[in-house]
Amino acid sequence: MGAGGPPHAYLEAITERYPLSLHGVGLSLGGAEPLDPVHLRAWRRLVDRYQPALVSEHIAWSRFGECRFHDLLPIPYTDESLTLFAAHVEQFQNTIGRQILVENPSAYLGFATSDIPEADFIAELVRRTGCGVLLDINNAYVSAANGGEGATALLRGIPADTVGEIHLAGHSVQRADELELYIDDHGSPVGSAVWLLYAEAIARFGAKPTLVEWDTDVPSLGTLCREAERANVIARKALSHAAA
Amino acid sequence: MQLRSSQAAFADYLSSAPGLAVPASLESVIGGDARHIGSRLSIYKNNVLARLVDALKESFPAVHRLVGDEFFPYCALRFIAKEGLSRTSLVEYGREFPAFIAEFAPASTIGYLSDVARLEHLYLKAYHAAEASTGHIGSGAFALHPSAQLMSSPHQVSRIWELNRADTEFDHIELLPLREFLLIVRPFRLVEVRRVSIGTFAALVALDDGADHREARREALCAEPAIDFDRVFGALKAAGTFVLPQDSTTVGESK
Repeated sequence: MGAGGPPHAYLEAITERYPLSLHGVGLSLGGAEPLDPVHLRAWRRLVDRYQPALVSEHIAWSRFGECRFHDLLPIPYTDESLTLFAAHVEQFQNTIGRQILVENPSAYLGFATSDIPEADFIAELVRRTGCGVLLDINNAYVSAANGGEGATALLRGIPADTVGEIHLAGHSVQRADELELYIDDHGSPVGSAVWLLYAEAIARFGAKPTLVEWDTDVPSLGTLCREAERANVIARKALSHAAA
Repeated sequence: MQLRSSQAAFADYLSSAPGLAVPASLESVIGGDARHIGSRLSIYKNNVLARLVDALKESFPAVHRLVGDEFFPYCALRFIAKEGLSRTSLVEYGREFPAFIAEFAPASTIGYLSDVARLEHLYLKAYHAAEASTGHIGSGAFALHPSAQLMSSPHQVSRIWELNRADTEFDHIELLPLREFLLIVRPFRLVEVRRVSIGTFAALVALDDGADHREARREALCAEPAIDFDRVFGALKAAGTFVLPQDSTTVGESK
């Protein structure tokens, strides 16, 4: 989002070789306040310049008033938040002139006011706006472990033809006051339960561009490549099982 | 409007001092066992603070190395408490950090620390600045490259910075009481930190203020009567320091 410099030089070099997936964290689509017009314009410039294959953002909010929290904060699943979120997705899609994918969040708490299951919330969002889904399987697992509705329910509830990208990542476990919380910290290998869910997702949604997110305590390139290769192997196996 | 009021309460909680109780207006909208609401919410609060501390660490790697792993987070958290949470991009968040360090009593024993921070912030500004073409500057009007940043320091700040920005091994450095004049600029792909003479610096400051070539020469000679201005100026030009005037304000706003 900077004006120039090495980040853009890298993006240009990457664009020449690979299709690009631009993944936003700061638009605050789930915020109760209007979207930031400066941030939207920056997105439009970026999309115009690099013509990415995929554009995605999160089901979350991160800004209130003047404050930017630089974190993905949870939203309740209600009619009110659905209406507002859908309007923001439409505004974003209209600004950049293309479809976006929205990513399911990792949640550390739920809202007493939530009265729509997460999968239904996402399915209805897709129906109203024509957006697609970025399915983060580690997020689904972490949210379920932290008291959510269950990762399998989410995987089975999302309409099959709407998933455009998949994320995998490692998580850690933190204990406080007899409470065990799973933290989506992108700092370790993908967990075995998440790999199992990945196989199930591939069988249901087909092979999709998949990203292993590992951005804290970044390991050697070899370790990262082995994680990526493992994802390839699991996807191939899941597809051949599904075909058999 | 329930969403707005619950986000307002959440935002207030995130912005409040660490360790304060969860306000009832927020507690009432969170589900699950009431005993654990504080622990769940504190994950978000800690994340918000940790992200800012990490961003400062990434923006000021030499300051981090100079003061160490224990003192840096302490200093960063005190800065965040004074500054409040971020209102801009993470890159911009550290803008006032050098000034904070200068006033921060526990850091005052390292006289050059604030200037190292200032250099690191200017480096970051140059790194993300707009592109501009440095070719074909003739005898007509020109401007400083949009990435150009200028600073002077009573310390050998660029030397201290160079040795501490990466994991360079060194026993000790002998610092001379030399004032440094620096041009930080990214004419091509990489940011360059150039030490310049006092006369060159005076000319660059004048150009930055909108002066023309003649005024810049006068400022340079005033500050450094022995300067060979044409030679210095030719070298700056060849090194991509200048652009055509319309190129200095290109490529829209930065985020």
